[in-house]
Amino acid sequence: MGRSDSWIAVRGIDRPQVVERLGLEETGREIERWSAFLGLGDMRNGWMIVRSQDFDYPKPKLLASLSAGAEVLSCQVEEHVMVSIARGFRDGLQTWSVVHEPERGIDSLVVEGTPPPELADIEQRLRAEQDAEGEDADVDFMFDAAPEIVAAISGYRDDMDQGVLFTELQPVLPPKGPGLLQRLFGRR
Amino acid sequence: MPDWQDDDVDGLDDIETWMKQRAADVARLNDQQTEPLGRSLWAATTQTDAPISAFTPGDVRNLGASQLDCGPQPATPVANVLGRLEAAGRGAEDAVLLGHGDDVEAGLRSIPSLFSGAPIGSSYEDFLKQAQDQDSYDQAHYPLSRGLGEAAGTGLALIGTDGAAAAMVPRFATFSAARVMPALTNLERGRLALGGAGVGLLGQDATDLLSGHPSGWRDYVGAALGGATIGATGGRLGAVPAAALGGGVTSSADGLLSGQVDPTGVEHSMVAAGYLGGGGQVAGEIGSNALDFRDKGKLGEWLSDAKSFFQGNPVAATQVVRYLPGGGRTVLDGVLTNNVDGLPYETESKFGPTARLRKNQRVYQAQNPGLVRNDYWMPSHVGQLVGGGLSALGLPGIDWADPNRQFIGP
Repeated sequence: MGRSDSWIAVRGIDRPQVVERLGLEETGREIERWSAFLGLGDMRNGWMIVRSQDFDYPKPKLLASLSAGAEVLSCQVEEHVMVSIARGFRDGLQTWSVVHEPERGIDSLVVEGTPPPELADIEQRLRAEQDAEGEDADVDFMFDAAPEIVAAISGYRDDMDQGVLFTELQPVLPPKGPGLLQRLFGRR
Repeated sequence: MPDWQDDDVDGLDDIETWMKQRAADVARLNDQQTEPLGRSLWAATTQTDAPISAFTPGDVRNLGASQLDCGPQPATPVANVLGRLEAAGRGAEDAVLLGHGDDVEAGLRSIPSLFSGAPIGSSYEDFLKQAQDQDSYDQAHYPLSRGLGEAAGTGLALIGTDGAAAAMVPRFATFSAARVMPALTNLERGRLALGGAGVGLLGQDATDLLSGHPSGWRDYVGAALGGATIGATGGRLGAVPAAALGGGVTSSADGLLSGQVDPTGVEHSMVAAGYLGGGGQVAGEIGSNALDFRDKGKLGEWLSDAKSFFQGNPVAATQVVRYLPGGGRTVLDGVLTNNVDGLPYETESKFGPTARLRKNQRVYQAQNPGLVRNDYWMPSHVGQLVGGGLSALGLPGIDWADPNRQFIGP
């Protein structure tokens, strides 16, 4: 596995609510950011971060339900093809999105809705860096627009070591029902 | 309906017609010219090595009768040149159609029967017989023209396939770092050749299983050598020429080991392999380009892992974090098993013409020059792999189905 992953930033609800709305539970085990499929970290600035090794984990439906009475940001990065996506949700509705797909052009950035005002500065700076490298550059600066806008608001950066402590999350398993023999003989 | 009518495979649906046809056949064979013509033709072919055989007196008369059907040899120089050109054209057609030129010609000439109500089966058989007679005639009278036509047809088929494949796949502009992705070393080519030999053997085994005819050891050696050739030349040659070369090696090796190389069979193998290579190239290139970007990413990673494996230095760890001065970090796709001095030890995989490095990846690589191997995979690489693999795998089957194939004992 290379980097094809995602993270969600949540503000406005407490830690147990985040875990519950995601249908998860905490194992209590501390993890490195990339060492578990799902992890939860507290930025101590009001934002909580849920990391996933799955690019598609932040599905719009999940983000909508998570953002009821809260503010939610998500970011997805695929470093092998250099696609990055950021989204903003509030009170169950998507408010903005930023998508970079280099196949549409190295400086392509598709913005929908009303993104945070910080995006303008970020986009201007990245475009200037990309232009300075020329068309034949071996680097894609615009890829960082999505992670940077999420970082500008939540403070969480995927490309920095920020000392955030992550604990492992796992799906809540349904309670185990009685086995076949127990059901046959009516014993619990 | 009586049973005998069900068995009427030549389409002659009444006994009078059948009797007339048989009487014509007998008259044809009893023509006074058939035997001397057949004998002179057979004598001529022993000097030209044309693939014509006549084992019994009846066969010799048949040979003569077929020559009579084709008419006398042209008397004027112009007619002679035209005859040679036609023979060359028929040779080229046969090369392009992998020895099935007679079948295609008979099929096309039978089409009017569909509308006239004439029995299509018997029309086809008649036209096929005429085409085969004409082939024998060409082999006997114009062997050089026929051979040159076959060689030209082989070349045209391969050039055409290569050009058609190139025209069908999407063209991409990419950046220079991706364009100069390092070529394979000789050691890597050697390992790829071994892999190609394995695919060739697998193809031969699959052909044996599907056809129900176990092949001899020569076929297996030929298939392995052909597959190895495709593996060793892949990347240096395009998918079509590499496949054609492998096809030629397969057929030639089989012939050399049997003590009888059949040039026509070699040409057919080259063309068939070229078709498979071109088809595989188009399918691999268009197919991989049509993948969802997530799958493109996974494919790129898989190709990088396979490359490391073939380099003899497989990936030992994935998703490895590397720290940068100032608190930055980047995650490597892979770290290889052995750290050999002077060679890249870590891998970064990209797929597609627009997939470049992320800022932190470039910073890390600038601080650690020569440490990371960047693999910039393109759909064209996938096309080449699929084309090579398909031709190595499928060549034994096509070789087996060649109508000109000469069966030699194990």
